[in-house]
Amino acid sequence: MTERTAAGSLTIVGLGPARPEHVTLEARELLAGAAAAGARAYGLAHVRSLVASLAPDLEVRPLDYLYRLPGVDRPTAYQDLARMLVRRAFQDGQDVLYLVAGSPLFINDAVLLIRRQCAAEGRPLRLVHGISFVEVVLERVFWTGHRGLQLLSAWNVARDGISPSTEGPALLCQLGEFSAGGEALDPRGSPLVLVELRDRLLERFPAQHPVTVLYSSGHPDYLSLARPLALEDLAEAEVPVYSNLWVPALHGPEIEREVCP
Amino acid sequence: MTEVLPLGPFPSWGPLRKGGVLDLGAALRDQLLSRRALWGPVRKVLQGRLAHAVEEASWPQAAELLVAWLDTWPVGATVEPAVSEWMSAPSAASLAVLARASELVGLALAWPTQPGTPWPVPPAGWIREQVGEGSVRLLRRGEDEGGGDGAGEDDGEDDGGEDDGGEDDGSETIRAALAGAPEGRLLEEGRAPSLGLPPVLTLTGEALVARRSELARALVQGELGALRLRSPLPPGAAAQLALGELRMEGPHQRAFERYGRVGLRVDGLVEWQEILTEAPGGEDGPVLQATAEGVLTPGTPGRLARGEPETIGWLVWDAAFLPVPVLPVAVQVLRALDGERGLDQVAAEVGVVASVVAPVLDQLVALGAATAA
Repeated sequence: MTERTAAGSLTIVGLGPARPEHVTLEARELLAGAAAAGARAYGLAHVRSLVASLAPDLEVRPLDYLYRLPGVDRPTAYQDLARMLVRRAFQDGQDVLYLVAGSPLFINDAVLLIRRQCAAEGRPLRLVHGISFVEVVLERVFWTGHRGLQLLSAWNVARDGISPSTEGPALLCQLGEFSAGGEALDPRGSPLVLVELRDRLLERFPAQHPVTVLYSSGHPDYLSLARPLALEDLAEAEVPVYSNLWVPALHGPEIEREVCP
Repeated sequence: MTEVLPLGPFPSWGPLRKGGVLDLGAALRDQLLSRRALWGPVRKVLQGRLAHAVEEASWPQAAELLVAWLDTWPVGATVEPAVSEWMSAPSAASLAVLARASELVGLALAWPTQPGTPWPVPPAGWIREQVGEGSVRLLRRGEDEGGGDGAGEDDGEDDGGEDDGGEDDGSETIRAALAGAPEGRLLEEGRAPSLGLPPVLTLTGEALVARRSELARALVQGELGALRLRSPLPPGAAAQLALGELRMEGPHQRAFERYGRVGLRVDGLVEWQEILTEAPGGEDGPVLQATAEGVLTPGTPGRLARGEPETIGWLVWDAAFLPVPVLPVAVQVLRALDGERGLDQVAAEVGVVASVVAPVLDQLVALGAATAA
């Protein structure tokens, strides 16, 4: 088998939260020309369905297998994905597009690892920004910005000892994430971590503190939806994996406790 | 002297005869993978075996036979278009249809299959019947046809062969069949024309992990068609991740693992169940005609597997639609739809009051089993 040493390229493309109109012009132009340019694109299922509507000629190789491998946890899978894409681009000489939902810079471990590896090896990396989920979910609350915004992983708060400050509002993301393995896409498991999250938050907030589950209606409209509830009721019902929890500050502006209709 | 091509890779995509050469794989394909075979003898044999399995209380076998019997409708409806597609513009979907058809035929005939595949291996008598009298020259598939990939350079782990990949082309079966013939016919052997399939590399599970980067590059660049493991993967995440990457990057890999060398002709893998869809609803009207067939069975696969038989109706179509379980009365009603009877006449024919038949008709229309005449 032949060795290929010609230089390739690696581009990470953020495609926004889900709706085609949220894809940036830069990303659209890149996708439109990618198939003709012989680019090799990779992404998960939800990204593939979006690309199918924007650039039907572009084949997106499925990365979903990484979530289904026996005995492979997510950190290991993300590390392997990062190494694989860097290798494909710079050792195999392919023009690689890694297509991700939302913004590449928001809560994406694989992107983080790719960026670090490229930086360490002196590899060029192009980043095409996308709208993050934060813009979309904030649509249903009134965030003033006066006390900042804490963006935290619900998993980290529930299980890793990270505590949001009570002085400013917090957005806890990936609320339905209940496992470090690949089975977390089933929302029925979400109450497991919600119980832990609730108990952690109750250490700092009163039981009646108003919180809001922010989530999407899903395909095809991807409407932003809100489910307000008291903190003590957080674990009473399951939530979608990619939902978020809005936690207003303990003594913050009243408007940040309201839900935008 | 009869010149013959071997049985594999099966299903053949060549003509039955070309330049005086008989393609045994094509003969097997044409005789078994046809609507006539599936809707006729295969269905009949499966029905008989299903009844016998129920009588014998062989419940797991009965459940398998019921699924197979019901599948003879959609498979029979799609097998001949699939054969045509397979011969001219092969797709993963056409291969899935041929695979399911082969499974049904194999189940009915009780023929063995090529190891790890659904492809049937015919008995000696069938082979002798095809080649007829006289001596035979067997044109074997070459191990290096289609060009090498340089893989043979690698410390003897690779077979270096294009589409051999360690897979039997059926020559041994033919040789054994003819050697056992009463006249003890002597075989000559020659070389078959190249099939032009991409090369396959055979290696150990450990080598797959150790050579992951090199193998992935070869798959990406089209230098390799697929990989065949001659030993299990070693335990651990590294092996799973390596195999995951190679399956993802090799467009033929999963079909090759599932179907053997013929998988090298298609990109991706489609399973039979992915091909079936729900039938579209019909149009309501005062007079209805049947667009499906209603059959009565000793249960659903689940109930049979649990040893709980009961009479269940099924709606089946002459199309790639999912069979639908229904109450037995729905089968009676469906059979009464002749495109001329109205509600009252259908009710009289079935012997049930019209108020019971009306909702059944609504359901049959909604399920796409009946439509306005």
